Order: sequence, then C-alpha cells, then structure tokens
Amino acid sequence: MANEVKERVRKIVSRSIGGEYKDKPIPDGMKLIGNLLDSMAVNSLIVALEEDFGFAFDDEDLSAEAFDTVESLSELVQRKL
Amino acid sequence: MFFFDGGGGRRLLGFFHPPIGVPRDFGLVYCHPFAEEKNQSHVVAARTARRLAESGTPVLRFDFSGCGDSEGELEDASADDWLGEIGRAADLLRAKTGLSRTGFWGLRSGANLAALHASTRNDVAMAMLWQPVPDLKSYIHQFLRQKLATGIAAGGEGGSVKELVKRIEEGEAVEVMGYPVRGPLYRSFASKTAGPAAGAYAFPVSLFAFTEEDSPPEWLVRMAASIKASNLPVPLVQVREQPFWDRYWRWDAPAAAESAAACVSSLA
Repeated sequence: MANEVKERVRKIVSRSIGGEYKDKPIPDGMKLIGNLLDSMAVNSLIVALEEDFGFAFDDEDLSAEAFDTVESLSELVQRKL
Repeated sequence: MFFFDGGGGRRLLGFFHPPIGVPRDFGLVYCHPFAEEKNQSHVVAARTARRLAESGTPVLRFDFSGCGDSEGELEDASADDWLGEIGRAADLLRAKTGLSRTGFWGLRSGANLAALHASTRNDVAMAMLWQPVPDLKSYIHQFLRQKLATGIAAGGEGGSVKELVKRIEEGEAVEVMGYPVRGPLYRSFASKTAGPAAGAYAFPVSLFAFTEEDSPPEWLVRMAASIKASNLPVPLVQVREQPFWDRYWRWDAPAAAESAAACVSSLA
C-alpha cells in the first residue's frame, strides 16, 4: 500500500513539474522545494493530489517540509488516506 | 477586435470569429477562466474558436471586466457582474449574426459561469463545459491557496486560507500571484456553492475532461452522471491532452479544437 501510494505520488509530481520530468520518474531523495517546484507547480501538485486521491488537504498539512521530497509527500498523502 | 458596452460604464474587449461557409443556426459565446488560467489557455481558446468558425459556428470571445484588456479593475469586479456581461456578449453575438439561439462555452471557472448564465435563458442551443470546477466557492479558496503555495515554494510555511479570508472580509485586497482579491470578488464566488453537478438544464450539455490518463478523473465522471440536461445523458468527452490552463509550458492542445468542432457538429 505505502509503495503503491509513493509511486502514484511520484507520477503526479512528474506530471506537475512537466518539462524534462513529464515522463521521467523523480528519484528518491531529490529535493522538490527550491529545486523543481515553483509556486505554480506547488499549487498544481496540491490540486492534482487532491483530485487523484479524493481527499482535501487542510491548511496545516501544507508546508515546505511536507513537499520536500517524493518520500515526505507520500507520507503526508498516506496520513490523509 | 472591438470594444462593446459591458454595463456599469465599462467597455469590454471582444473578438468575433465569423462563420466560414454555411453558418450553423447558433453561435457560441466563450467564457474564459480566472487569472493566470486565462493567460495560459488563451492560445488554445483562440485556436479552438477559429476551428469552430471554420466549421460554420460563429464565436464571440471577450474579456470580463477587470480582466485582460477590458476596462475596470479586478479589485472592483465580481462574478455577478461577469454573469451580466455574458448576457451582453450574447446580445452582441445575436446582433452580429442575426441568429436567435446562442450556445455557451467556457473553461474551468468560465464553464461554471457559462452554465450559471445559460440556465437563466430560454434561447440556449447548447453548453460546452470544459473541465468546470466543482463549484465557485471551493475554487476561490483553491485560488487563495496559491498564496500558501508561494510560501511553501519559498521554503516556509503556507499560512492559512482562513486568515486570508479574514483579511479580505476586513476590507483588505489580498494579492495572489499578482491578482488582487477584494470583498466583492471573494463573496460573489463564495456565494456560489452549487456547481454544474446540481444543475438541471433545458438544453444539451457536453462536459469535457482533459487528461492523458486512460480514463477521466472520477469527480468529473460523477459530475457528468449527476447533471440533468433536457432529460438526456450528459456526454463526458475525454480529450487526450494534458491540462493546458495551469502549466506555462503548455501552449497548445490540438485535440481540444477538433473535439470541440466534433461536439458542436453533433448537434447540427
């Protein structure tokens, strides 16, 4: 289950970042904030995760720490499921 | 390109695509989405309008007051003003074409406004709703959340939408990605809690989903299933394109124009 969620998150992050990563998996540990995600991509990513997994983030869920890597984001998504 | 009277002393920028060949018996008014989604979808909307005109459907595109090149400030705008402006654009389209029926086409929040306006008329030929948002209240909260996203992207905390709403209600203009949101705009969106899913329409409605996935998003499937339109099932047209309104590297979606032309032709 955790792995399945992580792979879904990885795919959604790639789609939200686009460009060279559109069809390329984001490696584990790669920094998203300050590296791949700007504010528009963060927002697209939040919406895409909510739509794909069918939940709504609370404001307090949203922090740079949670969006740091695919792993931290997957952990957040798993807590919401 | 021309200006027309949008009401309230404001002139709106309009663009008319005349039909080529044998004209259809209705024209379409296009309702654009909000803020940056408008800019990023502009090319796709313009190309689709041209494609529709080439197949005989006249199209009128225009900028809502306070948006694009129309007069007025976004700080003074409201969704209720924009609903009235859709009506004025429809009147203008009828005057330009002599056609008595009008269709409405919109993208994202523009699709919701198109559906809301169309439901108040009795001369509607069709509504083509491109990936509407679930409802305008959740949309404006989602929009405000972009300010939180900016904080996150800068490496900090996001803050809270609740706090932003409080500032707006206290009279402040909260700027999100360069777009000021003030009380009238916020309240006019927040008061519209019913989305297209709750609508019952006396004319055909087509819902469009843009995704490269194998199937459309579940929430749009549910929306299509719950809309009542002329007692007919609402088709959910899946366009195999990535969303193009929220990604600045996407300036084209060729399948969108073709799918729109096919959808409108199916009603001929």
